Amino acid sequence: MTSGYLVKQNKFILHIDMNSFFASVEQQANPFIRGKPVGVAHSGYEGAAILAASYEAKACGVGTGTRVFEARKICPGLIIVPLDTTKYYAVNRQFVKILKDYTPQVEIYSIDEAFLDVTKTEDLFGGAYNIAQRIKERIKGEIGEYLTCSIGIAPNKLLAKVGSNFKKPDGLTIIKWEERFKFLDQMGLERVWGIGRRVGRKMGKIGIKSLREIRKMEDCELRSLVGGYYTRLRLIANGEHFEEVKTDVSKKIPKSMQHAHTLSDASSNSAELLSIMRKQAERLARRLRRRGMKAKRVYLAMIPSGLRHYGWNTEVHNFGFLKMDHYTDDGYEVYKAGEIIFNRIVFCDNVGNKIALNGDGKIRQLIIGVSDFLNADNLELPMSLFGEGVVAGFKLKSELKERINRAFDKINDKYGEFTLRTGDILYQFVKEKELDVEREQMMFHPGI
Amino acid sequence: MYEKIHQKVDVQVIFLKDRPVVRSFIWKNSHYPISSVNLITRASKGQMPVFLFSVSNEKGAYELRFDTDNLAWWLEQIYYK
Repeated sequence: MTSGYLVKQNKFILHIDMNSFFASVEQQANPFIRGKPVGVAHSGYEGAAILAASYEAKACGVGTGTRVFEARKICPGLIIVPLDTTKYYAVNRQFVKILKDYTPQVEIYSIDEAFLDVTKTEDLFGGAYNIAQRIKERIKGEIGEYLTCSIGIAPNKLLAKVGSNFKKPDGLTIIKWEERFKFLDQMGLERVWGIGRRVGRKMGKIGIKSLREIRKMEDCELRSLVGGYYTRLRLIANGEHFEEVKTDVSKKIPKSMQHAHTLSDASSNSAELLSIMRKQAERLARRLRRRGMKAKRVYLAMIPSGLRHYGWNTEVHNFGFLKMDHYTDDGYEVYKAGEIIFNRIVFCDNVGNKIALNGDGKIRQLIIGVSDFLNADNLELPMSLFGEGVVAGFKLKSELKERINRAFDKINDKYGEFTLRTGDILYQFVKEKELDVEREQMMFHPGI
Repeated sequence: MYEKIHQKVDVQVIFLKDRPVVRSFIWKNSHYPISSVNLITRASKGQMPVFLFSVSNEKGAYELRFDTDNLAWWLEQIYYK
């Protein structure tokens, strides 16, 4: 593939997908769990969800989102390994460093996926196929022999992603423009990038299960089913995708930012939920400040136990939001806005416990997020809703707050997250420490 | 079975080409020879870079941490059959 292009968009795009990333990293680190069913979970608590499964566990039917107790039932020999994001991010950095040796046009799509545009550099390395093979060899040689990746090579990002999905693990698939339908038509709709569960299900209900069937549909018919999305769906069905490989994703202003916390024990205790929210709000604010952004809208969702979160359902997910009259990057303000939403969503039972309106009254997952952003550089000094006033004749409290936050950030940047923290989130740390001991016992000694 | 330890240990390391190879460590007065270095990752604790070495021998797997600011070694976690 050294000469000529894969035609149509005259490009060579690679999509690299690390296979069962978290589980493979754990198996690389620990040879005793290689070749065995492994599930990576936040905790060994029976209600916790499996975040990543090894191929051996997947073969038993354990997948992402399976609860630990379900996973143990269907796969009795399953080894639960605690989530170690530090390790995964470190491996990700090593992996990205390798990719950048072949082109500066690398888009980090997620912790275990990346797109490369090697159109201008493929000749230097003997072609796109050789680049793909070298990447595979270097990952094994420089990071770990147990780490594999699947690579798709195609003229656009959509087809490259179809290619990497086509053969797992350790696959390498080339999709030429004229052969695209052969690959596209074998993919289940929900597995195609850009389609998603909702549209996939909607189509499934009327018996449409492949892109081939979508191509045969009239525009008006498609439009009546998916509205304005039909044009995009038509492009996907034809294998067309015009998005460039984005090299500067980190600088793009996101639409929203959120933190989710899954409770090891579903709870209706408002003090516990608020304390979790306080810490999550602080994490959110740290992320905002790190990116030089401020947000105006705060949203909160409390997912009842027994429900999964696939897209928002404001009724079911106890969802609410608050638009503040100013932009903020302060954790306490985010929390206070979250508390207002919380009090709108929940009601008190006759003994004063706050119970969520929907579901069984117990909350399994709490999500707090912010949206409606502005870059802090473009902002004037904000007026705050909460306890603002004139201090020392002319200084606003918000200015002091910003200085305090900056001081906090400097210390925490130097010594690690939450080295310095406010007293009101101390309770959450004590609680988490107690829980950690409990979780470790459950994780490492499942019999207890 | 995994067990979290987080205790300081003495470690013997050699450098082969540009790669550090952990040969053994001493923990609680016992000597643990290492037969394989499985994964080396660079992370940070605040601004301090730390290196995590996932190593193993025939008895178990171990995670060692090297702090770059005080050149100290820690045994973070062990796994034994």
